[in-house]
Amino acid sequence: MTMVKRVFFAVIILTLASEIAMRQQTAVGAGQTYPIKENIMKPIPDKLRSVALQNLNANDKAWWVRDVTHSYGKLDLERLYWIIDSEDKSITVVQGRNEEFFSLNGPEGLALSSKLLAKAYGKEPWIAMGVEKLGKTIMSWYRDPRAYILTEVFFGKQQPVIKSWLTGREKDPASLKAVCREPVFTLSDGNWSLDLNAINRYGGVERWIIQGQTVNFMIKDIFITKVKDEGTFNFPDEL
Amino acid sequence: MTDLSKAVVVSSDEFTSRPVGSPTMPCESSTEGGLGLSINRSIAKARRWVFGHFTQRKSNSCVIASSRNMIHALTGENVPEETLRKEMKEIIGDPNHDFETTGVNPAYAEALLQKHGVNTASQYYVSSGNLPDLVKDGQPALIGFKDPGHRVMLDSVSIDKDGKRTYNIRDPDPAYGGRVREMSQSDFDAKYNPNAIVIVGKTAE
Repeated sequence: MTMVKRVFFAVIILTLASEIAMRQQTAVGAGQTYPIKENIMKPIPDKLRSVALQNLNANDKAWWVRDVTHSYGKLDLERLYWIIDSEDKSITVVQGRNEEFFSLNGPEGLALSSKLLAKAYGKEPWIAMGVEKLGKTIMSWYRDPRAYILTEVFFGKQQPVIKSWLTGREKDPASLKAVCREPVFTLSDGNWSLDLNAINRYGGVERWIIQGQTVNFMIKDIFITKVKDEGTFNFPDEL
Repeated sequence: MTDLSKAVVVSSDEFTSRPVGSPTMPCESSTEGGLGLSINRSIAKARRWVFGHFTQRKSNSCVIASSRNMIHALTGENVPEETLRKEMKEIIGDPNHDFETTGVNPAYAEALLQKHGVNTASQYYVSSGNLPDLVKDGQPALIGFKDPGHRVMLDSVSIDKDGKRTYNIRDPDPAYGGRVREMSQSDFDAKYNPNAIVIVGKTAE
């Protein structure tokens, strides 16, 4: 056996031995062969499952449960989950301190979303968070985090990968630029309003008008109107 | 024979009787660097044979994990996912990118791969029927799945005597445990997204 082969075998054995040692350290629970994703959740608690079933299909073995507790600042809750089912429908669910679960999706979730934001960011979250972050957070909870607010800055940042946005029906970058605009935030008579354009995960563009009251910060209504059909652009992000 | 000894034998066989043009040794090289690279890739292949490929460590880090798998397959380099995530944040210009709520545009993977010695060629609108040609010489390709958007590595396409294709996918979803996911043509077509970028990797020799 040549010296090269001997060295080769030695390197392989040492590599595999260190890998086995590492696996033994990271394995959690009997029968688990591979290190799991850091925040994978199995089994899904019954209460969480029943709330998630409001939006998702019943095949919970195919659900992707994501723990996004630390993604929106210091919120007054135990855990925050974003769950996607096998048909790509999703829901965001709060686990409260008392082991209760609540959906943040849709109009029914606005009161709780308002409370969470007010407690974390004070009476004027649009100042504490900034208008764009406030809008993105509300959009994420109301429907799904897979969306971007379309602004001139956003369009500029996409230039190195602009082609990836244009594999839907629309091929011209100018058409994407045309729907980019600055969000408009207004305060009037105890009410606030946020008006923005956003691209959704289906490559459609929508205008979101989010309205609320300033006294005891509250999100009251959200109006979404279609600007560009789904499939006009491509939403390239992958999970 | 244990998994460990089998892996050593497999690696030894590849090292001593490798065919020219195999994924393990795409081309002959008489340089010291070429030999080192082939050893690295052989070790990497043995590692995958025993332990499987890398799975994603964050909810939305499929692009990172699949890039890691391609780097590992083509260079033998085992770059920790955390390192690649940091590098990706620099590439996309967002130091606060949150891999729990936000995915990654796979078009940025090219820069990440090139940084680690993988040459890339990318294209859009590749039909599933054309994918076997892209990977026939042993070079893997990063491809996109849909509903939801998800990045995986196409390792190879097997075609049996009846012409039936099996797509051999290294899916970083931990649900597959790092094992190759074998998909029939119909299963593959139901998930494959031809609008997503296809990135074919080659070792920078």
